Amino acid sequence: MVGVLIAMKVRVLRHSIGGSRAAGMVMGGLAGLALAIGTIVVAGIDGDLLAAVFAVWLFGWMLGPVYTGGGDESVRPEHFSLLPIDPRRLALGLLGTAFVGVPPLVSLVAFSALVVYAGPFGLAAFVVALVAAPLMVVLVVVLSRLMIAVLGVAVRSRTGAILAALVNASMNVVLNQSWVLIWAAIQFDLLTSGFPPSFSAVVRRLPSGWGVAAVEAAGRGDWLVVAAALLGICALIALALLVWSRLLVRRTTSKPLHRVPPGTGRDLAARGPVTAVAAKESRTWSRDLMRTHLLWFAVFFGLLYTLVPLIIGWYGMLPWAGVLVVVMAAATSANLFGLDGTSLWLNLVNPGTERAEVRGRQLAWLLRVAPIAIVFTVAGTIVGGEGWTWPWTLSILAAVLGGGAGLIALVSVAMLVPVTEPSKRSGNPLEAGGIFGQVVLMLLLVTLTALPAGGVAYLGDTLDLPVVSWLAVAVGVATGALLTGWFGRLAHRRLAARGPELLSLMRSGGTAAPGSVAATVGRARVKLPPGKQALVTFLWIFCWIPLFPQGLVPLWTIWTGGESRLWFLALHLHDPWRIPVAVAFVAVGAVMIYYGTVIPNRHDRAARENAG
Amino acid sequence: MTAALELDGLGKRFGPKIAVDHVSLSVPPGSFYGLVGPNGAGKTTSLSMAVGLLRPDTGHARVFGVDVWADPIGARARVGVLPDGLALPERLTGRELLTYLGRLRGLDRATAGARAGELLEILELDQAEHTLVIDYSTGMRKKIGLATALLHGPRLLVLDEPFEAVDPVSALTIRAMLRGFVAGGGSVVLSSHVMALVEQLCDHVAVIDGGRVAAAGPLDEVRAGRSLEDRFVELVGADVAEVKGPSWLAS
Repeated sequence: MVGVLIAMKVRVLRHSIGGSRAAGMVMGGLAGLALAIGTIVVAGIDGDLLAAVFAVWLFGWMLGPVYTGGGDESVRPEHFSLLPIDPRRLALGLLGTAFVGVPPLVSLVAFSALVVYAGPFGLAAFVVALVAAPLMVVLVVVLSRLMIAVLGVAVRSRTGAILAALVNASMNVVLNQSWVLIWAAIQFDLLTSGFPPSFSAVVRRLPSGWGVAAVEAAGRGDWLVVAAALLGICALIALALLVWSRLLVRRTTSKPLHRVPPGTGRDLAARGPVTAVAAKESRTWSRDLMRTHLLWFAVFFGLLYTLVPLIIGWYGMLPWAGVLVVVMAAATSANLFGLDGTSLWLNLVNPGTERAEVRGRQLAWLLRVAPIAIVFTVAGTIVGGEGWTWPWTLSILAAVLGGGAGLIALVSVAMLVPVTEPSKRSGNPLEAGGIFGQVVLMLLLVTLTALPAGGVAYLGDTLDLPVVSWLAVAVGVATGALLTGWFGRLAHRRLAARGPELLSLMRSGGTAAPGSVAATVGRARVKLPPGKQALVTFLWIFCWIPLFPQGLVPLWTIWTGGESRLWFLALHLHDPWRIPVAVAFVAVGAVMIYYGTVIPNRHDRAARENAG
Repeated sequence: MTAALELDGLGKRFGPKIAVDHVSLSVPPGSFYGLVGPNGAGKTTSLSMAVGLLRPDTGHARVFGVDVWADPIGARARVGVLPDGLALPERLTGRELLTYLGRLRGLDRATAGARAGELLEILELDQAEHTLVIDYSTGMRKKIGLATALLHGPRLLVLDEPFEAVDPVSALTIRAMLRGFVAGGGSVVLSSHVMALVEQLCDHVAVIDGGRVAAAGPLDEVRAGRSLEDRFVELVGADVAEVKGPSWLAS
């Protein structure tokens, strides 16, 4: 059966891989391969570090599917729910399909670092490593599948959805704020004096470190530990499979029930078309578990992100909790139209409602996000801010609220990601589609909308003029209102002009017709030649490095007078070079983004003109 | 007299496959028009292009003489549409959905509420007051879809498979409602696989096969003295006598 399922998945993949997806796969595979080779290099340095890196791989596997929309669902358990197959066999078969693809191959390369690590420990350790490395790959893949399944079942109630958002946000924050841990490591002088024994013990006790433990034990000739570690991995795999098969049955035999809160359900208190849409939307926000999950994810992310630095006694991030909530909420809401599936047809057959649809959605989003963000900002600034922080936080909050409300409308119309129809979803909020690229783009764009307000606040601080500082708040409100209005208008005009194309995009789900190269997508773009496609993908993947870690973060550190240099090039230089170098990095990042956008557009236009 | 709905050389191609190949039809006002054809013949694609849900590659569609693609607002205000298999705002109850759409169409609150209530009662959806649309059965989804098409009092209804999965009692209600609508001067275009139903309800019929119109006109003209089913089988060129069951399924 495993063979049949794998063949099925390969066929599905072949029908759904278009030119850009294939290029993305190649680039992603190359980036993963670089990380895997890095892991092998680490294997030559230190066992503690290797175990820690393996823990990161495990974490990545468990978190990755959450980012990329519920993992790979090209072969879904629902497809087989009517077949007389034992769920444990089905789980085994589906696990087999999970090994088809680039990530497991890359992971196999990464975990082969164990074999390298085993070299100095002798032949026995080498043999143990040969056994342990593939077992570790199986372990991370099966734990990844289990994680998706657990979240998928947990989020079938509102409480579950909120809890899942909390877990999700915590894991994200740990990855994103790992610099705090690095900082703590520097403070405790770990790099010179080595890791404390407790750290070595902990990373080896995590399942991700059992392979390392087995190899070391084989080197010492401690066969009891070797057996325990290897059998432990096998037992964990078996246990995970068993639980997973149980969850598969629950997933395919139960349906999430939706409860209408008492007191509603009769009427919509709305004055006109815009408020009618807003009323519909706010009900959807509270009743749709996927949206509940996305919204609470943003809330927890903003909160935890700013709380983690308290570990090293830094309160300076607290004032930004509200702003982070807004930015993250905008990023996760940017597929607003996609999430509703083909219900767009109602706007197509109801003449002239596009404006109301867009404005109402913006209004509902603001009503959901703004109160939380304002409370967080005010409370955070009281606790963690100083007098001069107020104009900064308030102006930027106003700017990103407005910018976010504008961008979610525009982006959800301009780069819609097709998602499984709401009525056909299993209730798993992770089925939000492949929105990772959209989320990253939105994080950047929303941040950019804060620039005018931030610039004025900076000017006020530099000139030491409180009036100018407070003027920033007015600028923030003004740019926010302007962007909400302007982007919203662009969005509803585009919706009116391209509505049928968007609808067919949602219907087709972006798959290619069998036997044809051209996708049946409404907004089919002219395909780039492979070289250009690779260049564009490269630009989009790597533009963030000069922009954020080498550009904006050092600027911020210079501005706040921070002392840690880490790997920020600009901070290792002396004045007057620090600021120009950081600015230059920002410029390089911006140029990369510019060309990443312009090259396909130009090619598209040229090809169309030639054709027409 | 201007046709209620006129398809003029509509064509649509998906990749190498020609789904609809220059379909031209004219639906006279006050007629009950049935669209029949085998699976994949292009019925849904044609109807989608006719009401503005799918942009045609060639041709025009006009509702009471107004071009659907040149003047979408003018054309769509006159037509009520029930598409097949599309999503709705799933997290609303039936009543909320209808009131919401009424408000969106510019009806005032009292009118929207009253119409929603009346439609829910006629279609027997009023018991499901606290059920979200996402939890509706297939038949209930059809009925609420039909209600959205009727809400604004259009003069033309375009219904894709309106009777699919609807229980017999509701089907009778819907039929009576549609008959009344036509008797009052409205026009209905519906697609269906059920020949007997089309024969009973419709006065005009078009047979679509392979993206082309195989026959179209008043019902009696098209069936030419025979049953619609026989005529249909002949038009689409199926050889019924040859059809056998799977070999292992025989008793």
